[in-house]
Amino acid sequence: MRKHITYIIIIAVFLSLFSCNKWLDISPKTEIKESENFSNEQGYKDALTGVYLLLTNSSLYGRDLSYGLVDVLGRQYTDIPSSSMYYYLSNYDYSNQLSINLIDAVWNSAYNAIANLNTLISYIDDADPSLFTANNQEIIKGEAYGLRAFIHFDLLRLFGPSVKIGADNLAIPYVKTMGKELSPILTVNQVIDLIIADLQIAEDALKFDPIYEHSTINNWDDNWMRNRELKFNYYAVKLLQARVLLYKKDYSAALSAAEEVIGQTTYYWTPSSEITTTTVENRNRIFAQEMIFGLNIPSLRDDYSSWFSSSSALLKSDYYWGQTYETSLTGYGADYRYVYLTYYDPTAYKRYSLKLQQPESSISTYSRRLPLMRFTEAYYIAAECKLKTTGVSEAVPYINTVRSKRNIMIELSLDFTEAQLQNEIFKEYMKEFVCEGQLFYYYKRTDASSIMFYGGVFSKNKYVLPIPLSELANR
Amino acid sequence: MKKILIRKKLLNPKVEKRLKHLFMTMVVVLLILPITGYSQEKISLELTNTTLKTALANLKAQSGVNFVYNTKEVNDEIYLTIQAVDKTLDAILTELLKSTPYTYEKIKDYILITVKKQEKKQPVLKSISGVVLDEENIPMTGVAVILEGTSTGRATDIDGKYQFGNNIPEGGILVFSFLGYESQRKVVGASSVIDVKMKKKEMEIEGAIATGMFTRRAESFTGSAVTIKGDDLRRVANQNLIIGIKNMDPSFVVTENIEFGSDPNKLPEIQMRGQTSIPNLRGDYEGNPNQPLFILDGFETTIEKVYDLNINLIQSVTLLKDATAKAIYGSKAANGVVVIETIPPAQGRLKVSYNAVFNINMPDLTSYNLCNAAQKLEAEVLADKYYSPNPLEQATLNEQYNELYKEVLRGVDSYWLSQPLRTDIGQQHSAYIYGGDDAMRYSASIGFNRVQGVMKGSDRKTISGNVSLFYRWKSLSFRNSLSVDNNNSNNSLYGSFSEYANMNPYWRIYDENGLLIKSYGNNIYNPLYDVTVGGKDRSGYNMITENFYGEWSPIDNLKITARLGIAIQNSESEEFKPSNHSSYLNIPVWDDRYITRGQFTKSSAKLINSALDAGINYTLYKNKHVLFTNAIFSISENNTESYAITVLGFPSDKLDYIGAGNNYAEGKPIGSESTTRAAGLTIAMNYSYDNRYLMDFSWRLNGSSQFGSKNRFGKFWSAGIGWNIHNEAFMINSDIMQMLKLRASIGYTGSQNFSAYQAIPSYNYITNQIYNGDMGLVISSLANEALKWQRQLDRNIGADLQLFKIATLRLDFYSNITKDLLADISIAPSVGFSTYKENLGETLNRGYQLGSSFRIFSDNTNQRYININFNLAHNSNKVRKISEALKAYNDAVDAMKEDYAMTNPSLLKFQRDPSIRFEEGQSLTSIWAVPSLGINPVNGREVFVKRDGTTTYEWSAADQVVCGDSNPKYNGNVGATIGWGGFNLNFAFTYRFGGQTYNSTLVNKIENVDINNHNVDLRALTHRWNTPGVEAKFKSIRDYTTTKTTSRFVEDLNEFLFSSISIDYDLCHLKLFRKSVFERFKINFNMNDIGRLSTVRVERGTSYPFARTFSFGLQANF
Repeated sequence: MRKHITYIIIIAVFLSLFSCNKWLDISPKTEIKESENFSNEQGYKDALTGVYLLLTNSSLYGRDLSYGLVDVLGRQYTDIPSSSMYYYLSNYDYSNQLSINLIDAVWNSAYNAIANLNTLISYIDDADPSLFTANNQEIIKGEAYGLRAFIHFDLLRLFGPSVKIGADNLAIPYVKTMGKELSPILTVNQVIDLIIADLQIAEDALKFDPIYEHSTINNWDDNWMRNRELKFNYYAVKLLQARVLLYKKDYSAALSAAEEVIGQTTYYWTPSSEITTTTVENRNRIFAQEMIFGLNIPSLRDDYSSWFSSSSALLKSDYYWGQTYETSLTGYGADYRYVYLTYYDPTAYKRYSLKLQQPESSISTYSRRLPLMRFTEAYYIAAECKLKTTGVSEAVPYINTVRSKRNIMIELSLDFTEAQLQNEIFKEYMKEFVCEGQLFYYYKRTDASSIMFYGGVFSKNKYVLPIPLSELANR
Repeated sequence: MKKILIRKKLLNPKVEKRLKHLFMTMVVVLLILPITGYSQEKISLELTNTTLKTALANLKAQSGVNFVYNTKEVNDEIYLTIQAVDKTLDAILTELLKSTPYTYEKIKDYILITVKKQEKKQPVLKSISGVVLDEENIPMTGVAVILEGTSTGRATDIDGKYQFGNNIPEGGILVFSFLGYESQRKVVGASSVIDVKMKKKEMEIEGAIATGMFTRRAESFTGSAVTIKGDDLRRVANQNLIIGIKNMDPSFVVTENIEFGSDPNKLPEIQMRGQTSIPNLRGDYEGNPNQPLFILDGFETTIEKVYDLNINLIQSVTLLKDATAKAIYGSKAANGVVVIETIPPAQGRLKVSYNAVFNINMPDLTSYNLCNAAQKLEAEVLADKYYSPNPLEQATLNEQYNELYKEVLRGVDSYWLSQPLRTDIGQQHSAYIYGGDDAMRYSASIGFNRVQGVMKGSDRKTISGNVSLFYRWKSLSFRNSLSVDNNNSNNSLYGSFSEYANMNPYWRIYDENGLLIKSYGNNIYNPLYDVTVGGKDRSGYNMITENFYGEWSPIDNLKITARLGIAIQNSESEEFKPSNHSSYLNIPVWDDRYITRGQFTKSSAKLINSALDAGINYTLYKNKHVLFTNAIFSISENNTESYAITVLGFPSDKLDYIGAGNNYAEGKPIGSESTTRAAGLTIAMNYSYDNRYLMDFSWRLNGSSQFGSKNRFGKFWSAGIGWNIHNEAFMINSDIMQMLKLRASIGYTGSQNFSAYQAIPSYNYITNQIYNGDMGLVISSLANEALKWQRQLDRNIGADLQLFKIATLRLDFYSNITKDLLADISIAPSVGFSTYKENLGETLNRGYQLGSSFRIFSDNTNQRYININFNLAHNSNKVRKISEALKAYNDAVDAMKEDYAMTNPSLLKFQRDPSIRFEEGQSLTSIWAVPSLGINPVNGREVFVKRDGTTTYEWSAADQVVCGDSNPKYNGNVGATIGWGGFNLNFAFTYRFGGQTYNSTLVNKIENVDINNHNVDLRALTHRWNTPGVEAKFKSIRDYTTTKTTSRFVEDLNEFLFSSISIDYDLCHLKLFRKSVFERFKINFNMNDIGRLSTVRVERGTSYPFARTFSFGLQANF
């Protein structure tokens, strides 16, 4: 009897030790445990939304990768005062501590967003499909892969050497796993290949995107599928493919991707009446219908007024604004982008961009939205691809289409030389992508030897931002 | 038979005498005749119902043989029947006596009739049980009870009980022995209960070691543990347990809080055997990372509970120091373990014990040396406060000066320091009743303690009650203890004491009309003003603790125990600043903030700790082998939750209720939650051979939710060996050495004071932003799922000695290496995060401790004795390995120290005071400063020595070197206890030698002082440089720059502190009291923090002054 009791106690102790492991697993109240979060669909949705929220961070697309740092480097602003934290960057001084802080923050925040994506991806790849409504699993997966490619591509364009001269030089790590293990630094071409591979997965998954014209599925989760232009949707993937393939100089593939964006009917040209309306509050400054992908940033109204005013830092002199939009040429001065998207303060003699202005009462579909990918870029990419493959004459119509929509009624000649047309494409990047950060990347992609409106001596090695010391020191 | 009879009679000499007399008179000698060959003769005897006497007479007649018998023994009136024909005498006698209890014996020429001798049969075996108590009727645990001449033995349990099965022979002798007590021998008689009262030997060493999980005999234990008896604690500090332990053992270090002095509401910071963890720079740890583990009656408890514990209920405190002693607590034990046991209910008739203590707290301002009004004004003149090159300004300044000078002449010399202070009487009462029998015992206590702080309005009140029941039924016993504590603390509304020290003495406190002056211009307000507007700053808690113990011994030597403990604490604090508080005085009425004046912060916290454990104890006695084995399985859960809200806008100071506020303060409510769980299996063994060769071994498997999921369980172990040389044949009965024990131990323990959820990968909701209507969450940090406890390798060698029957010595050497310290590791940010928690750092603590006591004089009959004790401890600390992130921390601090544009007062502190620097090979307590050559007498500037040896006037962080160590080389206590006819007198001193200190209060009162607005130390006037060519200790009085850490203020700190004196007398020694109901009526007087001899003059108690305490107490037992 006594022996039995002893045995029972010993067995009980060991059994309880084995069940301990589970008992020792605790769920914090103020946080959600990772494994718990991914036990239902809402957790996946929330984790994805979290990434969009991270992207609205001022070190990422909420400022520095849209109207901030990249546009400063692209000299969209020429009158940055020396008291501004962007002053040294605008002079391509990357060793100043203020510049280092800005650059490091981009790197750190971008990889932080990628880490969040990687965790999401690691769970969604193996997730039980029965957890999800309709095709949400595919869509969340597509967006996650697409965003991973999107962020890496911008990191590549900032921290990697220009593809034109350094395609096989080391650029950045392409991080696909979450954890403390380091991912190796890859060459530009290797990174591009990984981006293309991720985009392929995204494209396949987003065939279920309700926004995709050929999508045959129609039982989607209505509420989750609202405002697809604020998510990394099917066409954002296509346009990014076109961007990347153009960067890779794979013109035919880039062209077909661009053509698919041009050919769709979900996005369309913003009616001029919305731009020219005399009710200033209702003016559609972001050309909302053309925005393939943009972010919802609730604080954009306040951010705008602190960065864009006659007393703020992000100013371009009135003279250079004139040069940008070639206002001295007949017909160019009517460009909507000049007339309605810039403002001259006669008392301060300053002109600044109105693109992101958000009046109190503006229409909800225009407000609190920061455009990151635009319909017109597909036209420019298509034009450039045609130019490189079939020649000027097939390229010109793309540009003319855009110009007419922007109220430049003078058509470009079909007899332009290749260089002339390339220059016109460049001008379009400068005019179209104010506050959207694409101009600097254009300079870098074409390995331009100078940057317009920069008076100092520009050295091409300034195209490569320094990778943070903390990254190099800890590798 | 006779012998036994006689021995019995010896018990009482009177009875014995009477019996002897009886014996003599009753012996009947019938006839005396020679007999020869009688046995061969055939005789006959035929009798019916005849008395024995007649029968014998008949036989005598036939055979001629004399019969002798004792009438006391032999009843000759019994009637017998016999039919014997032609038989020998032998046969007839045998036949005759067959049916009687008598027998016969031929002795020489007569036959003796006696009672039949019982055949040599087995002695009667019986069961014996009992209780072993000490002189104060407190059950003694671990007393060895051995049947003399055999190996049969038992040890008493926690209640002092022992029990033998059916194996003790009547007449056997039980020997009760316990170290430090005189052995008792008890003969087993008729009774099956043998209760024993043990008497202390003249020299008491120590008895049992209570580890909180089980008890070990001190004699066979190989670990380093110190047990302090409750009475001894009460002698050195009758108000607070923590002060008591500090005054008794130097390894228990309470960090002196120069800032908060004697503030009753500041919990002390404690460490044992040095600083093992890296200071809590980034909130990695919960609370103090070096704090030892507190175990109260077997369950983990908080320092707050220990701080508020009623000292009268303490039975003993045991400090577990080395691996053998503490490894049973596994991952929580690295910082040492303090085991506190309260008095269990004792057997006996109902008894009452009442204690009262009255404490007088007096502020101790001896460290202050401030200027008076005239001196302060003179200092200001020297500092050029009233000088301006601009004649117009000079005129105004002259006017200002004259105004103040007139005030000084009028005799204005305000003593601000005394304004917020008081001398008040705190009270402490406690009553304890107990009683019961063997099966059921009970005790109940109630305590009230009110500590009156020396700053007006600051106090701490604790009311606590406890009911304990003990019940035994056969082999089962239970104990249940329920405690309720209520605490209420108020902080003084007078604010920080430093405000008063800063006030200029030439300012009047009250104007001519006796009204309080509000302001002195320059944004300086009268600190007394805020008291008049009222407010609140209080906190309190309610705590319920329920502990249940059950014990079952199914067979001898085997015990199965189970314990359950639950503690629930609800705390609350309130802070209210009314709208007319001085911080709002300069908000004009048109300002938006006007409506939000007044602030109320309310916070609430809840703590639930529960623990359950089950154990098996088995004790094996075989020949000279003794083996104690324990296995304990335990689980526990600790849960805390807290939140705080701040409300603004209280239009009237009368609305001191949070609901009366206008709106919430900006931002979110603050809150935190943490749950930790732990499970563990402990196996501990103690083996001794012949009490000479000793061995301890323990092993613990420890699981905790705080560890990463990949490292959920940790294993800890310890091993110890010991040799009781005094039990060897050649040492026994030595006059020189009564005890010599050598012991050594090694083992691993852990510490896990870090935050609850660091190892769990988790997401945080972003609550302040939505994305197009959706909520999102992001990963909070890069969790290290392999995160584990800090590991500490403890090594200890020690010896216990007793010499010449008067001196006991205890010596320990230790070396503890703490590995896997939690550290932030910098990591390449491409993984998504820039830091990562890792087990990386390593520290080393080495030292030795000596404890000794001497009985210099003793005269037991007159209760006179003099005992002296002396303790010494040495500890050195070294950082062996740190992370890059901590090196980066050094650089960040250096950059802040260099920054000349600093104005924020909290950051200024960084520049003025030395900061911790993390350098491998250095101590965590090193004082880093720039070496200084002193003040150049020519210009009054300080001359620094750069690292390359050159001199400079410029302070540079890069020139900082180690200029001292704040950890003393030696610290300890000296004490004496003197008894004289019922009087007990006790002195306690503490000392420290061989360390340094950065005298930051000095530099901040002499050099880094705003001389224009604040009062200064007198030495700012007398010792600062002001005449070229005259040497001075302090820099120019006109130099307003910040004095940064310089070797000039690193001073050797040698200190001798008279920490307590107490005297008590038991009135029961008086004839008057002898016949009263009182068993004890003791009165005592106690004084704490009496005086200090120190090489450093440092302004102590800046925010809250230090205090001296006098207390009167009485204790009555009846």
